[in-house]
Amino acid sequence: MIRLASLFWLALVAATGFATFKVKYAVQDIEEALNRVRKQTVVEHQEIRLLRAEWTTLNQPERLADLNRRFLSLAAMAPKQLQRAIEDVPLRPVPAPPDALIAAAPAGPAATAVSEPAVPQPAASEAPPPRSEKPLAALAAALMPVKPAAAAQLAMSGAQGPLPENPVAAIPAAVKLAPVKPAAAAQLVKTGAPRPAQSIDRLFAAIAEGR
Amino acid sequence: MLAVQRLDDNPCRPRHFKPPPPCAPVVGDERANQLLETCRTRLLAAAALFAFVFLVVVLRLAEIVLLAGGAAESHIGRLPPVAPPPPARADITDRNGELLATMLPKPSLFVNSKALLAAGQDPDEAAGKLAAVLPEKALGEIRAKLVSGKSFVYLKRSLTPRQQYAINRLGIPGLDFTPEERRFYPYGDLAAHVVGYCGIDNEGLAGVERGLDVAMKGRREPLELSLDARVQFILREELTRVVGEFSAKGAAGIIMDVQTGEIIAMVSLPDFDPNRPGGTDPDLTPANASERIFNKITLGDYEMGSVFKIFNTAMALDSGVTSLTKGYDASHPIHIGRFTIEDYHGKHRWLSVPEIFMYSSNIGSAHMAVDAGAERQRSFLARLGLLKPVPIELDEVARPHYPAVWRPVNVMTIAYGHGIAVSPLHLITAVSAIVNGGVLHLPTLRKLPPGAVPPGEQVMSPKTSEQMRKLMRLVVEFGTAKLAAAPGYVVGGKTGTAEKNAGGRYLEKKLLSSFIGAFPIQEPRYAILTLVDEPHGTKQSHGYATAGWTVAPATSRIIQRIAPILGVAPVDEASPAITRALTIESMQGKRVESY
Repeated sequence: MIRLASLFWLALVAATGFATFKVKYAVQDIEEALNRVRKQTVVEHQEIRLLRAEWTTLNQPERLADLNRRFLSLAAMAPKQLQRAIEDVPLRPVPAPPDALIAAAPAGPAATAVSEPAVPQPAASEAPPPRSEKPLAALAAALMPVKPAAAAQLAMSGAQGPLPENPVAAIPAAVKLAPVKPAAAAQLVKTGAPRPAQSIDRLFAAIAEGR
Repeated sequence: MLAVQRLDDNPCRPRHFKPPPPCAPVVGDERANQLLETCRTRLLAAAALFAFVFLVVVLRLAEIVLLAGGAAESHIGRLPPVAPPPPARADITDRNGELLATMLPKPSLFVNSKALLAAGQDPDEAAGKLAAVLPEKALGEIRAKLVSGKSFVYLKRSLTPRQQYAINRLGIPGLDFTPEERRFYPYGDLAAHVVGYCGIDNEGLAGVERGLDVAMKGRREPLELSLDARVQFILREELTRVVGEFSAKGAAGIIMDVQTGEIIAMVSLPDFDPNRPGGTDPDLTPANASERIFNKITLGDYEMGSVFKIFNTAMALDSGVTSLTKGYDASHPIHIGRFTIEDYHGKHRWLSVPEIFMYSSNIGSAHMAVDAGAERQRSFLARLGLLKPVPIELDEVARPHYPAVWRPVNVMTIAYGHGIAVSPLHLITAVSAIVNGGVLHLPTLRKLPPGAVPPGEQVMSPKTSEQMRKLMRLVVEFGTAKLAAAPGYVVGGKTGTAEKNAGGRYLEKKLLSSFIGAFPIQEPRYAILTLVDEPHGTKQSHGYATAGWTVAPATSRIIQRIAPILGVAPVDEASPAITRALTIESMQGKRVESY
């Protein structure tokens, strides 16, 4: 009887001792791991400092200005681009419904303009922003409101051939070409929503290529 | 007897045991009894002690196990903190957290010559390899250090990470690194004069590094300056352009928040790279190196010229000596002693006070100052802080120069900014007080918490301040500073073109042209001062090197670029609210002659 009890207690002591040491070593391992992580954290902190310094160096205003000159050519903000309240922002001119424009077209902005050269071409001012494929045409229309026929001619030739050297001499050609114009006008209308500026497009394309 | 009897009665007595024959009674042995008693008491005491100790152990166990007490004493709690040790100096950032100065690990390389030689390394070969990695060190010098026989000689201090890697790759025994940190300024020369620089042992030698040296040591969180790196860049770029355009000797500019006294940008040209304050340019001589380190804004003492008419007019208006409707005869030059006071843009007629200010009439200003008197003038300038150094977080501050005895001729010349020399920092601090409603805030380079309004001293009436704002707007609208106008931002200001004084003589060809202004002038938020040192006229400026042609256009460009950054919304300058706020009643309906 006494022996059984002694054996039990002995086993208990052995088991407790074993468990204690096991726990102790487990704790030691965890502590070592913790210390490693802590040291690593300090190293990472230093690394972050280094990277922050490098990031700031890369963001030097001179460098950014130079990069902007080379890749983006963004200009400084002008006062007229800043508005205090949303009500101050002018509404975009409402585009004429496409059907009406096509119906009106045979009378032709070009034809009207030839008879009344002083009237600016309405289609050019009211149409939504032109597609970026024809910036030349839009520019010509905007720059030469007094000679809309020539502008129309430029608009056509911008896509089709070299510019005529003398816009006045080109007027008959423009009149001749006038029937083609409605299609172009309709196309302008149907492009719908204005596209973002071309430079941003190019930027996104460049970023996509980079990836 | 009794003892024997008791023994005999014992039922467990073995048979063979005979009780001893009765003898002398033992009861009387007093000594033995006493001894027994003592033993018993000692035993009891020992037992009580053990019981107490066990009780303590049990209680402590219960506390730890049941009440989770003593957790703070656990081993985990004594581990080192995760955060790295604080850097030797705190970082410096601008008001948006952009890093202006930081500490980078830059180990130093040293050689243990004994170990190197003991390892059997050929010093010539090792020196050759090292010289290839450290091109700025001479081969002979490196070799001499390698064979010196000392156990610690610095070969090179502050290595770059790349150099450290390359040296490790060489695998030369006896070389080792000491972990060191060095100051690094990522923006280089952008804010060189404000930030300053450090010596080789990271002690501040100039700028904020020196002025706030104590605050910077052992501090963990970065020190936030009031500067805005973007504004600083624009100011510096435009001033550099002015220096180039007018082949000037130097330029300086400062932008201040008039409501708080925070300095948003401070530039002094020529400047230097704080990473290499000594400079590595081959054409840099010690003379022009010290000129670069000189901070014109705080350390320069200049006779500022006509911009002082702001203070003169404000003084005369605030003391009630004159008003906007009064005027003075400016038709004849004033002769006093050996001086003759003349007008640069002479009108040769009676001029009203707004006209005197707008046409920058020296004669009219001198009359106005004489009217007010020396005592008023002196105390007004003293109230604006123009007669003592400006307190700021920099050690490089100038002491103003002014006459010890305020003679009548001094009164007249000080009226238009001659015979008194102050730093540009003085000027902008005082002008901020004049435009912001008359409250003088001391300038600071440390960022204030948003919305905080530091205490200020009311140095003049708000009404005078309002009148001065109108006058300053007049100068930009019709006067000498028309080119400083920035559409939408309602600039007001005053130009000043002073001849530099060298040894008591004024040099006609050596000018100091400056413009000081504020925007938007109807309720000013920022004051700006630009000055250019010894500009030369160009074809574009029609040969003029005066402020209206040099710094005024630059100021216009600067304001147009920084206003969106500073959150100043453009307004319609012709709107009734603004014209009403800026019209001088007495000038209404009058034809304003323009230049």
